Amino acid sequence: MSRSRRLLAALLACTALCGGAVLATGSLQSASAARAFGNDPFTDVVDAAARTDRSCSISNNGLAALVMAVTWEETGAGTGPPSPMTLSRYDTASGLYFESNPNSTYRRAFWHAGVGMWQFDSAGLGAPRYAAHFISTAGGAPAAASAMADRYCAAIDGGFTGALARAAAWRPWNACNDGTCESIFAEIYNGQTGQLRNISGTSAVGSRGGMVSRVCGRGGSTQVFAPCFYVDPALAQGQDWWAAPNAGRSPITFPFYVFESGGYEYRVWLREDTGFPFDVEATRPLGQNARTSLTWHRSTALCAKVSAAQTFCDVSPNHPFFDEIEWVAGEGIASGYANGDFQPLAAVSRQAMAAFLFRLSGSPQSPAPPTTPSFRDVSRSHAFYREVEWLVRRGVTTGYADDTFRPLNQVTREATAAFLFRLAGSPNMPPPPAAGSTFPDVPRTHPFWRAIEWLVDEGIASGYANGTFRPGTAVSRQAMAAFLRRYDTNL
Amino acid sequence: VLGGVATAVAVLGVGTALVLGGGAGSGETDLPALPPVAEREPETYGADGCSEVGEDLPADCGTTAGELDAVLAGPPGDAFRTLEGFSGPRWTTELQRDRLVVLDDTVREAAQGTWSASGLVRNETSQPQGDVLVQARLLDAAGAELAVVEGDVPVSPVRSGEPAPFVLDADDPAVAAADVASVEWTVLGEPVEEGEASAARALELTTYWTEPAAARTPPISVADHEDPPTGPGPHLVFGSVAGLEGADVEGPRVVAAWIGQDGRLLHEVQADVVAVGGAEALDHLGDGDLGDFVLVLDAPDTDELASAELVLWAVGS
Repeated sequence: MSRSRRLLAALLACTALCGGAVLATGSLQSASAARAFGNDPFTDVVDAAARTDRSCSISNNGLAALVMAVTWEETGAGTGPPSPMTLSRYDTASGLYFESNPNSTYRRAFWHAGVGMWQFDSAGLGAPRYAAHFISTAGGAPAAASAMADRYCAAIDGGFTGALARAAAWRPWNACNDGTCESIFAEIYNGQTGQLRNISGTSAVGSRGGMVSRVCGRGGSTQVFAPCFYVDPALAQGQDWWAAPNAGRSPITFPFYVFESGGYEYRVWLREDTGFPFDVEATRPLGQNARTSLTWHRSTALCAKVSAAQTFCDVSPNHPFFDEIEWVAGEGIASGYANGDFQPLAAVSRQAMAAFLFRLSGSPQSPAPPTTPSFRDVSRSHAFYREVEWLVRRGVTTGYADDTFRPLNQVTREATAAFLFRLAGSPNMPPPPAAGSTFPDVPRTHPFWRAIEWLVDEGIASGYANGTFRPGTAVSRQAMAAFLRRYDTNL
Repeated sequence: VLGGVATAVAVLGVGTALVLGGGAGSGETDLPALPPVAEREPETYGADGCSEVGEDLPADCGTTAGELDAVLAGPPGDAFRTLEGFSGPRWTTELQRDRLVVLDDTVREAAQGTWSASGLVRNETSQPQGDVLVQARLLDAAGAELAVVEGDVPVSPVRSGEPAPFVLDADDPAVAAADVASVEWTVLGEPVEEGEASAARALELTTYWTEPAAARTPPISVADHEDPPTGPGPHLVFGSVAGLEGADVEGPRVVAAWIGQDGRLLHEVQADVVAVGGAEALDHLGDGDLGDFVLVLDAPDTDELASAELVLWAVGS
């Protein structure tokens, strides 16, 4: 059966067997007493139970109930939906802290040893795999089902039955130590009918519980991209009490990326998520306890992308100028740096501006650049000689009075206005505003007043919230991308 | 003292090798690696070694089954390894000394009170060794013998390249630690057939959880352990032992040692393997059988243990 068909079947089963149906069949349980569980995690558990080999007689639903019963206790979810992303907050072993130092300034680069709805821990059943495998209920449910089936059947073989055999199956999950899991089992499973019951499904909790799929590359310009996952406690689905800063003995981690490669689990905290002055990477050999096996590094060359289609490591689809930056990249107007970054906040130099405008105009082959340079600081061997000379011939720039172009100087907002205005052919202006000027810091006497008014009128740029234009402010690469995109679109 | 120990080991070790009938010379030994994970978990891995996570999700190829096998067996050197009947560091594939040796950098000696010592020995011969015995000849500052203390190594057989723990106490007659100026170590053993050793150790160890020493509500009752009804309970480690293909183990037990951050042995305890769900020690563990164990460590230093490395041996006869 395909996943989608199984999901439908599971949802129908839940409709028929869980909270609502309980009332229909006269159960004493009320709908409000039902235990919540994510629809997709529910499907994963049911799937895992159906696929798990076992050497004794236990029904698929019985095994599914066995698997689910521990999750509310292990995650402290009460009767709410257990969070697949749950990160343990109990353990404060020094090895789990950045550089094994609990007093570190960077202590929120913290390695949570127990992960997921079944709290797989690297000291135990979680040792052979990485966090994302167990956060995903598609990975955690089969592992839990397999371990519980083995132990349940071993107990049955040893002469134990019923509650004793179930207690044996749950022994690796210490939260069941007080017998609560047996009560939950009886609550969610009808041993007489063999049906699951009293479980209310919710679509608000997915299989990954808010963990986000990403594509990560390492190794600078020679990066090989592979799947990775972004774990941000703030995005946790289900009961997320554990994500609160004061919810446990250990710190709650800052968002991190997790992936496995070549037998190692990697967790990476990027400075953009932590505010630290460096990126942090921790590595665990699979099979070993994180408390005594982590290796910490202060920097990394991780490039995390939402998808392979994302061009730059540091410009995700959430970036306010994502579309504009992707557009300038796609049009070949701007490219990134060797490490895969675009550096959107970096300033634009005049030589880069020349290149951008040249490419925006289609990288024209004519007129050919002159044999005699127009500027004494942009020689024929200059990397942007062709582009700067093209700018001169189009009348976009004249340089400075001392015959220099000053190619490395930062481009200001007023200069950008002038460049684009001239590139557009210095068009005639509409009537000026009644006040004479749109911006108090760009009066009519300003040398670039006309160009700035035109820029705003064409919708290429706008002013700041306080009504100013700040003409002398340097232009960032992200702002330039936006200007160029609007220029292309609006003109 | 440690310099003396190292020298004594080097000198006496030659004699030990002769007692054992001599080794095949220095060389390398194979690791008793666990069966490939793709065989142990066929439902998890596809033909390409990638793990399958749901039918409609892409296979996870970040670490293939083969790569996981390699990292579990461990890289060359003293790195942590997960093998048949063993998990921990200090197992070597390079048999440099061709004898049973005390790993002097793992030895912790009492600084005061009655002399005692604990540490690891290692079998650097090419054959498994059974009934391994550690002897410490305690000498005073003048070189006079104070006592000869000996103790059995609880792991038997000790396979080629394998470390094993020992604990010695000079309490009968009592020797004050302050009087001991140097120690001469001797390690003795009896060669064991390879097949016999393999059958006795074809076990897979899994730990499930650790509970630091503390008062617990409710008290923990697991396997053959019950917490005291009041007051702090001991440090607990709960896990299981599974019989692998070829396993034929009488009286299965688990031996555990904690190695401190300084690399020296902190504690050593043993536990019976009991029936899953029960408290009775198992007489036998064969292929496909499963048993539980609980390690109980009374009054340990919680902080020290939290950063200590746990080494486990599954043994039997």
